[in-house]
Amino acid sequence: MYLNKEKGGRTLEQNHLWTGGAVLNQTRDAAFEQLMQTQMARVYRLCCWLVKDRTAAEDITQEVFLKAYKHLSAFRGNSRIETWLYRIAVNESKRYLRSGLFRKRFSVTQANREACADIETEVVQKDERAALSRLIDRLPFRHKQVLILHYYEELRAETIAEILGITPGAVYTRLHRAREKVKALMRKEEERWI
Amino acid sequence: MDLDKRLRELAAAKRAAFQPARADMERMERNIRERIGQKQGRFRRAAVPIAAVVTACGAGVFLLTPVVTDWQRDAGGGRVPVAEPVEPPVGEQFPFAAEFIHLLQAYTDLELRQIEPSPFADVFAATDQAVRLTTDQGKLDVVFFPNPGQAEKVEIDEDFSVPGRITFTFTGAELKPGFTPMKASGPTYVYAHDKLLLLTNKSGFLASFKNMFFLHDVYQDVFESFGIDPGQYEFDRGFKQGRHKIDLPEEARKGLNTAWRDVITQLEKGDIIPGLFLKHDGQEALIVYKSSDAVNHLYRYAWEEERGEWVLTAHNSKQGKPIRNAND
Repeated sequence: MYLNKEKGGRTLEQNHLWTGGAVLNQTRDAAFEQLMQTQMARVYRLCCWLVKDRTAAEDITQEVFLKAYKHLSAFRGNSRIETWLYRIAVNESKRYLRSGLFRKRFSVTQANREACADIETEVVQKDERAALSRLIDRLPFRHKQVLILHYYEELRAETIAEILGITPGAVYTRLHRAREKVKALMRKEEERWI
Repeated sequence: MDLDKRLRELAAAKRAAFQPARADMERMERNIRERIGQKQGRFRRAAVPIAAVVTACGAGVFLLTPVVTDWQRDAGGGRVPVAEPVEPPVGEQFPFAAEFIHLLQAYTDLELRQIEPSPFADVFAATDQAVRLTTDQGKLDVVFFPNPGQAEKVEIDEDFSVPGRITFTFTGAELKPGFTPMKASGPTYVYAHDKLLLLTNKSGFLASFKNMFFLHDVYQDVFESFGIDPGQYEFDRGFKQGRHKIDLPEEARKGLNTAWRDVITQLEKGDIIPGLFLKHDGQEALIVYKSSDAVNHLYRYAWEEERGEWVLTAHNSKQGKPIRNAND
């Protein structure tokens, strides 16, 4: 079976090499497999932090990589591939949180929402840190995501800008506003910060 | 303590504390593969799935092993941890097989557990060099002929005339005096490459061998076209954890992953999967591939210790030989 494909004036043929173990279909598979090996844990971690629901985070992580597989051949390296994956992960997380699925799952059980906390060891469950973590979880998504990307993921403003599709200046603005929101929530809980 | 510092401390604690269960990760990977319609283990990188069959000699018993894949899976689909393979003393007992075994270990996921004399050492008059390799996925017989072309003339001649008692012999090569047809419990496939004759009872497995040699021949042609001595480099399947031949610092390994991905994303349909090669001192890396029009491509990287990164020092293309995949 031969397949001809015009691309940029050059005819490409899917020749007999296609049936071998080494041509581009396997190239994409190989690249994708490597992507999963090296990036899945990080993407899963980000999704857990964003949605605070392990089952949902697993579903979202799978969606991220399915989309990555679908579009991998079109990825031309204009940005780092990790940035691209994070962009998909953030969008999918936002979509999940805005969908009815979140509310249904939340109303049915709180177990999964706490499951992400189970993944984290008791190191994080010290009172002060736990309180701060809870405050961050209460933030609107647009503020929470920049805090997570900047502090938890240790990403620079330029990278965050690429992920969110905004300017670095807008990232700094959102970070500032997010921190102000956190302070305001703290004041409400009668926390004192210097 | 100001909020920024508090946030950084919280973030550090969260990163350190995040420990996803291995089973969860594997389940996600499995689900993804199933949803994109790929069967377990069809991912082929430079690795080639190999299934092998033990052929009997005298005893007349075939042991059929399951078709193997790149990944070893248990019945539930999870990854099965494998025992640390014992390094067989190839050089001591079977020096003629050392190069082939090196190829097998470099280009496949097989874990070699034992090497022993093959019953096919007593078949062909031209050679008594044959080994039976026991791997974690099955067994394989390889016959080593002294001259190119001899293996390619060998054809298997099977006799199905007696129900329940399939026997086979060989034509195209002189057989040793006293050789009698061997008993088989199924069809036997042979594949010849250069001076090697491989035997298996799975036709799909045969295709895998052809791919393995094809990749190796492609990379050798690339090296030759650029005048590079392949003996100075080690084929590195860098993204396969725990299978590095050359240890590199983590940042160096990450840099290579990035470089490899950058090359891959430039490939077009019909191009051959790139190969990553590391110089033995770990200071130079090559990514090579052959595009569908048989043009060889070379990316050369040097490790800059002070900068802590790989620097692209050369990117060349040169017309190479079309390499035929025997699966055609």
